Amino acid sequence: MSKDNEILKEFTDSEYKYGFTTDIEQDAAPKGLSEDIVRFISEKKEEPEWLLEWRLKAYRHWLTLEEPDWANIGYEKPDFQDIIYYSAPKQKPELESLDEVDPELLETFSKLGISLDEQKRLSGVKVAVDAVMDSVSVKTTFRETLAEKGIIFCSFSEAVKDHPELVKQYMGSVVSMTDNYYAALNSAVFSDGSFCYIPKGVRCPMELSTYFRINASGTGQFERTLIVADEGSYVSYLEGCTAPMRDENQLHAAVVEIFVAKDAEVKYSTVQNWYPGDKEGKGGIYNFVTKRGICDGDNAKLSWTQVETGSAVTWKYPSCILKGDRSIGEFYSVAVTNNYQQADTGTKMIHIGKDTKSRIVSKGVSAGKSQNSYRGLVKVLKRAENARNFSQCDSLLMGSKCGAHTFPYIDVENKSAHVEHEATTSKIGEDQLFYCNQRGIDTEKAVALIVNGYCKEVLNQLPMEFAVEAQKLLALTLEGSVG
Amino acid sequence: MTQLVDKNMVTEEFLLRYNTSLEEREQEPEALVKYREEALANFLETGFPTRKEEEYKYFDISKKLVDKFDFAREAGAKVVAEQDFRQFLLPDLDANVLVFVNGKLAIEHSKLVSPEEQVTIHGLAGAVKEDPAKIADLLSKTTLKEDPFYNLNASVATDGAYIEVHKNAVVDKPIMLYFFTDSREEKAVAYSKNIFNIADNAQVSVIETFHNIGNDDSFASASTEVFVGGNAHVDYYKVQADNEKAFQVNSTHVYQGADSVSNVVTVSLDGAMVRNNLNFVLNGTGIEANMYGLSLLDSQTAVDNHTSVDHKFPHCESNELYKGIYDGKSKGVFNGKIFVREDAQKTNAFQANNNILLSDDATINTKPQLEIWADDVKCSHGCTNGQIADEQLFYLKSRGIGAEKARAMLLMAVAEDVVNKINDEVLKNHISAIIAQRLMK
Repeated sequence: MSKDNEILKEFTDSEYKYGFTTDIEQDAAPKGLSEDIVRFISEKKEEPEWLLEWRLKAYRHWLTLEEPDWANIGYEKPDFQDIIYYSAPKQKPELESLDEVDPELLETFSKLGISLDEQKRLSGVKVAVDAVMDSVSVKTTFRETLAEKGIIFCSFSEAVKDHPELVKQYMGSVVSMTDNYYAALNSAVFSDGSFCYIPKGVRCPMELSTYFRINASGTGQFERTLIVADEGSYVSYLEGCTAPMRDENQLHAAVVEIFVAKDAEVKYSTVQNWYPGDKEGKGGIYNFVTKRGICDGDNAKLSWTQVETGSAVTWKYPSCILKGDRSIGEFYSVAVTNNYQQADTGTKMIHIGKDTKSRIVSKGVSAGKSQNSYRGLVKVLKRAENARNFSQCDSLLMGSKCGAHTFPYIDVENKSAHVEHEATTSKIGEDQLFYCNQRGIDTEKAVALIVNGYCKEVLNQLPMEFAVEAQKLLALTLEGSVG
Repeated sequence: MTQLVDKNMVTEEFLLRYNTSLEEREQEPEALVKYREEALANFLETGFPTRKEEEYKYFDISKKLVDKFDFAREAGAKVVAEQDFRQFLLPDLDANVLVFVNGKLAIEHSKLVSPEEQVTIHGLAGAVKEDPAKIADLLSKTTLKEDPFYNLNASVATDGAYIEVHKNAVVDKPIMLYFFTDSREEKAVAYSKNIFNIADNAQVSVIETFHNIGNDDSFASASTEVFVGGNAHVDYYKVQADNEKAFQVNSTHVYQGADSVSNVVTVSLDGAMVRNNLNFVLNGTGIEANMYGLSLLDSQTAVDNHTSVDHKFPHCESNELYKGIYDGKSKGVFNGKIFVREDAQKTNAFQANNNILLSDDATINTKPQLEIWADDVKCSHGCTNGQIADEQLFYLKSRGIGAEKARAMLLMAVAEDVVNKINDEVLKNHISAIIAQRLMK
């Protein structure tokens, strides 16, 4: 037992590795939120009139909404007038080559383990990166290679300038500006993000990747990602995020929209590692994100994979609307919480088309004094003949002060639907540890082995480049106990 | 349009009628007045629950009820003759029988067969008269007071069943409670408040059933507080097979002492709308709490089962199995909550909810919910929505059993899992027969 305690202590003592700040001059809007700020952001970004109107409409709608409090999380509500809604590294990136990027910035990204330089040098590496810092896209690599195939992968503001028709058509089509409190806020003040369009029949030759980082203090990050996969196309998209250690809580309210046309497939993977706050639960990021994709055409497929290790409070439900017949939605999630972290995460699978399938695998690990909740909805509408769903959500508790909760909603209106849900909650079994010990594996390694095995089903879904990082991150979060 | 005094459909008229009905009531003991006033205050704070509330999200019962009934007072006591309800009586059951008409004990139809040294059975109104301090003391032990319908019931009801099982007594004959609403002349609203006070080491089994005599709308609000002493054992069966005009809200709160066992079986077969709130509070170690439910529904019937188990102490176990077969335009709702508090280590909590939809117009909303704050526990829930497997049908057909019969057999097998949890042979056979008849149709 004392060994267990030791491990838990070490685990709870592990510090946040990405907690550095970068000294880059910031170009920021004044604190607070008003129509003027919305106009300011729009003007700063030299946006067309229609987008400003769109933002203002969202802002006015946001004013009528109340902050939701149904989630199983408790936190001090952010003061929306105390947030900087726009902050950009001053050196404006109108960049042709990496040499022009602020070296401090490059240093930041190499600390994160994504060296843009390296990516450029090694032509063999097949990852195109769009790096977003304090909500402004700083660099997109491999753009030319992608352009050859007709793939558009750029920052959101560039997309607004260069491809307004696409942005106009798809923005807000999956997550409308009135969707919820934070989606409305994001729609009003979003500063940048990634845009990705895969044309008909094209299989994207490399993984597309975006890195988000909050750097300046007192800022909120509101980025918007829009992925459109046209008929018969395929793309695998990765997203990662980090933030420096700060005492105050910072707000991150992003929107991710994915549009999957007929026969297309999108695989979206994310490793979320925002600063979770210190051991006393001070500071950390509020991560209130709306992610949703629609399988619009027949045979479309959308797969969400997420590894959640960071944030003080997470509120996130990547969802699939299965509209096309025979479309498929998948959700794989590992959520690890430690110290005073709180996570309320899960998914929604809305079956509308015939013969639609969905699969949910959610693995929660709670340690310290953290609270980890799974909240999911499986809805089978009346005309969704032969819909099939399988959900599995498991929780692992490490220590007696943490909590694991499950709130699965299942609504079925069609008799031919097959919906299954199962959930278990347990701790690492004494017998499992004993079995390992007996074979000469010490307790620490055994815990690592068991947690890894427990998450394997989800980690296996990650693309190669990410799987390694995710495993490392998991090891880092569980440092001491898993190392 | 009447003036709303507060939110959610509570009108000034309600308060007015409520206050006049108080004047008509008999003098109440001080302690009970306090209990009732607190309940009324709680109710006025929330009003009738709407779909905006998580607990009533899928069950819009208030809207259906509010314009139909006068909730502020109980319907007057009615005289009914035995032939009016003979058809509803459980045949061949040798039991203590209490009959309630519109919530009031009809002493002329009741009979007691168990000896006084095993069990004391009263109407609640009678028990209050006899020993108000005791009833007030029991009511002061209740802790679950959130549900609006529970509070409404507590603020209006005056009668119900009071069952006191004495220490070490094993009551060998079941206690049968018939609740009739008489809607032959006008709409009926019936409130009943039941208290089962089961002493240490005692054992008892209680059956309750609700029926609407007449063809007008009826609303039965029942609230039962079950206090289970240490090492005691209680079986509690609820049979809900009312007519299509009958609405019912049934709240049962079970407070269990150490090493006690409780089994609650709810069988819902018919009615307009039925809402069941079944809550367990486990106040000790070594407790076993079992809840089983079967909904076999057709036409427009809607049944909502909300259950919760609150594990507060170590070494307890809860088992839950709810099954539903839905045909026609019926609607099923299931919400099962399991709370395992920090101190409740070594808890085993299992929950399963299986549903079959037989029609595209039927719907099912289920939400199993685990909230766990202790690490050394085994908790799981499983939930399925499906239909009869074609292979199973084929297997039976290939052995010369007709499609209709094969289907009925398979559905019967689904229902039997729950029916078999009934320990009373007479009741079990009775329900089995009704189900078989329904499915063979």
